Amino acid sequence: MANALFGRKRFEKEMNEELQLHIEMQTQAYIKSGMAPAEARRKALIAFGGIENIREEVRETRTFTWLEDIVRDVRIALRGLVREPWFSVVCIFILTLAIGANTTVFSIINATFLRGLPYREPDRIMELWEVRGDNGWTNVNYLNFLEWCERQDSFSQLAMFKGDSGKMQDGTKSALLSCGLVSDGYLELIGVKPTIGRSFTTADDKPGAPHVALITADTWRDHFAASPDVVGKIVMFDDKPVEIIGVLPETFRHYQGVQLFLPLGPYAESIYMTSRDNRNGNVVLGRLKPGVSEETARAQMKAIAATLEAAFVENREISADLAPFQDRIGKEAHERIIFLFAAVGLFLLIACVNLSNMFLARGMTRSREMAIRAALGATRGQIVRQLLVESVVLSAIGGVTGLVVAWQTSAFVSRLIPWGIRTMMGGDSAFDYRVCLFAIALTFATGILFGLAPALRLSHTRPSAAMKEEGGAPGRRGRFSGSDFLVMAQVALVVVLLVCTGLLVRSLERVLSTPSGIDADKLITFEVSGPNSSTFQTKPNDFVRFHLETLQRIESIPGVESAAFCASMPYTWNTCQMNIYPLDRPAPEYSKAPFAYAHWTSPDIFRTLGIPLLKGRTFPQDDPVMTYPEGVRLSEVKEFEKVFDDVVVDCVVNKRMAEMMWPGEDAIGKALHLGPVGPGLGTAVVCGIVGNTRQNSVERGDVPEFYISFRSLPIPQGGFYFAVRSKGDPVAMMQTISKSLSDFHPNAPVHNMHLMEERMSWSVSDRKFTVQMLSAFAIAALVLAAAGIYGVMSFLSARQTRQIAIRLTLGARRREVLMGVLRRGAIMLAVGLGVGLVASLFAQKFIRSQLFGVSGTDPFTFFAGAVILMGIGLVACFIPAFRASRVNPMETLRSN
Amino acid sequence: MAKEKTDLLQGTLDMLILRALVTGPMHGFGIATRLHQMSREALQVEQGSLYPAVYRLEAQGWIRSEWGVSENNRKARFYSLTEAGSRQLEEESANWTRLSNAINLVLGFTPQP
Repeated sequence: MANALFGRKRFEKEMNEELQLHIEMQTQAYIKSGMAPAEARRKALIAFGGIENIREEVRETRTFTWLEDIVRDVRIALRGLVREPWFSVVCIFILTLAIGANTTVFSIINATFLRGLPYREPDRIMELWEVRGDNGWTNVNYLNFLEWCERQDSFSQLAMFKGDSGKMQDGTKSALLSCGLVSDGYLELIGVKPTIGRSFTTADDKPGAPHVALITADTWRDHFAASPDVVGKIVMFDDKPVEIIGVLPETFRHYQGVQLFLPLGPYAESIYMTSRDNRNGNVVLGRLKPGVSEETARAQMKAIAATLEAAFVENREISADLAPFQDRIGKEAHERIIFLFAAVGLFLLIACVNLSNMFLARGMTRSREMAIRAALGATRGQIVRQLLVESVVLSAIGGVTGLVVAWQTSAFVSRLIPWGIRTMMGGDSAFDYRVCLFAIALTFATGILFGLAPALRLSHTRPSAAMKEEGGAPGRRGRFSGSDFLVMAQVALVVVLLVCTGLLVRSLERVLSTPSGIDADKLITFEVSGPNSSTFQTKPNDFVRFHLETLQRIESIPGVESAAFCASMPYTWNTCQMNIYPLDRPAPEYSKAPFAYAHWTSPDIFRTLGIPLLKGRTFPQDDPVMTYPEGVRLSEVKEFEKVFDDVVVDCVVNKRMAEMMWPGEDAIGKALHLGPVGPGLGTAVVCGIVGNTRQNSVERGDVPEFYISFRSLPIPQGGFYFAVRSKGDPVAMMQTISKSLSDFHPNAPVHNMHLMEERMSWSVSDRKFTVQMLSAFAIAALVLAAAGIYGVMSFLSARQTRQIAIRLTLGARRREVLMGVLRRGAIMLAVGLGVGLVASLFAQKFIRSQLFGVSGTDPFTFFAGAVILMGIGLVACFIPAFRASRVNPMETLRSN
Repeated sequence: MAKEKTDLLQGTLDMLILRALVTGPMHGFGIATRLHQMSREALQVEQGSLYPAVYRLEAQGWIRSEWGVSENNRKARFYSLTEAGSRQLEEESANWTRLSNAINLVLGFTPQP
């Protein structure tokens, strides 16, 4: 190929050498035959013939490769672009936007679907679940997991991950970290090795083994300043000394943004592990043995689960199932990302149509040039090729800038990826070879797509007709030309984009205006990392005392309107659900036990959060606190049951729960069993009904919730969050609270302190961001369409100035001319609009899952879209129409 | 490049060049000299017009070229017949004979065998 590009120079050199040599030889021959050297040379030259002509002829014999032709075309194209800077700049800008947007979304697709999870052979990793009767998939119980390990042989490795959080203390600094407790072999299963230090061994996974931990690279940077002597360092984790034995690779990410890994074994004695009922946060992964299929493994696990169901009463109606680990990504992301891709793809099409039209219009002014080329011997194919090269070159420039822009904004745009997946993906950039290939392919396709029609149109010109100045009527009046159809197509596409964006905008508006059930004004929320659930099992009264004293301290701060703490605080993504069933009717089947969101709270929660009391009463402020007998070991199941079996407490339920459990009856006074069928946490009697709140996200609808007073039944149910409503400026109050509490409990710092308003806005931030992006594209598309219509109408009227002049002289009124042009434009708009609306009816099916509170065929949105489009379209038509009506017949007719 | 309508003279020149190369590889000047000899000095082609023909023949694959050293130690390009070229020569010779026989018949001369 280098030969093709640089061969020309070499060819010329060699040719010259050869011809010179010939002449010299002839000269020598003449000299030998007795001529004088000067005479000999002269005769040799004559005998040779006209050397320039010879050179030309020789050059013509040489067939230059098509590549050299293309290189020449590219040079011509670049010169042409420079000659019309504004045109080129506008085109490049549009292309940058369109190609950049598509590349960005593709990089997201690449990161989530194509690249696969950054683990070893990710398609062999299965995620295993237990299945509870009809209630669907649930986490796996640890004891069952141990049985699975012993009985199975479909997997070369089976391991468990338990998500949790804990307080890490290094000297005086402390931080709350998200941690993962993993069973033996988990890290090998997914194929991750520490970059420094060592990984966990089987010995680390035994109860009673010295505590060790692995940290992620981010944690290493954030908390240990990336110092190499972190290996071997001892820190306190949940008040236990833990040795850090290694750091995990830079790009490794895992569930829920886990920052620290611990072996599961040493924690196996806690109540949560020794009960066959508890499943909190347990995820099981398995690597299929080579040659074993997913189906075989599934059948075996179901069989094992059946054996366990027969063997243990707690396993009633528990079965097992599994699915490829990678599917987890697919389900969450699929629709949202595909929809985005369709939207930017649509935008690209609209841009192509626009560019095509622009090229067509410009092409008309070049028809003379093309005619001359044709007359000079260029074939139609060559002209088409040259024009296509022009559009591809333009596209390439736009593509390069688009790729650069996409690359630079990739971090900003990664917010389009749903959060759950972002935390799982590797930390390396999504911009790998696939994205670059995609950008290149898209650039070529775009260039050819928008360049083809104009190129074909332009190369069709008959030389003689074009050589003469424009005079004849180009298209008969009333007939629509190719570019008119392009405009109609463009309008249709824009309508689809407008309608879909409009639906999402309305959904967002609905989400934002749905009441959350709480009053977030001046509300502060935070966690305090005091004694946790493992302390509770050995020293439960300390646990209780800590929380109550902290609350008291907060209430004593001046400026605090009210304060409370609550497990499962709304909008903290820390929800906790519990099985319960009403006692005034027969107990449900085990697998069908209903569940509700469980809130263990301090008495003042309703006032603090602003949840209205609808009926009955809430908890008294001075409820007596339940004390645990000294020395009780709550990690033993038997002891646990003994303590709680006879307990009877008050509870408050929300309106939804009252409606669900006791439809048509008064819920006050009804009794509930706390826990699934069997032993549980006692009985609760309903004393009040409060309003509904939306847990975590307004989009999830009303769910059943119940509240139990912590004082009467103090257990660590999930993570406790404190809520404080301040009288004055909440930001200043946040400082005051932090200071006060760190004075009070230096070892229990305040974490995760945010205004409730912030938390609520986070829950919609993903949706809001998507809507903002789409709106930007819709507006850009609208502008493009308007420009397109304007351009086509202008051009049309410009070509028809003679006809208009004639009509005016023959007595037509200006207004008729105006209306005539407008009518033509309006017809194009109407046709495009009609097609677009019908297409939107089809398109809305695909975005239904993204909508909230709005139906896919919402008439208001469709109507608004139509109105906006017609309005802007008609404005775009008006100016050219007005100009057409202002034609001065005298001047026009005279100038020809 | 499209095959041009074969000029009678061009066709002749091509054939002569191929004929000249039958005896072995030659450089451009050598071919010119040979042609001059073969025609017993009757043919005085402009020597330069050899070259377009030679390059065309090479492009068509009937001769090939190689750089070598000439008699007076200069770098020169040597041409030789390819197999396709020899076959073409036979065919062209046959055509030429047929054509000249036809012309002779018309003009009243006895055709060559």
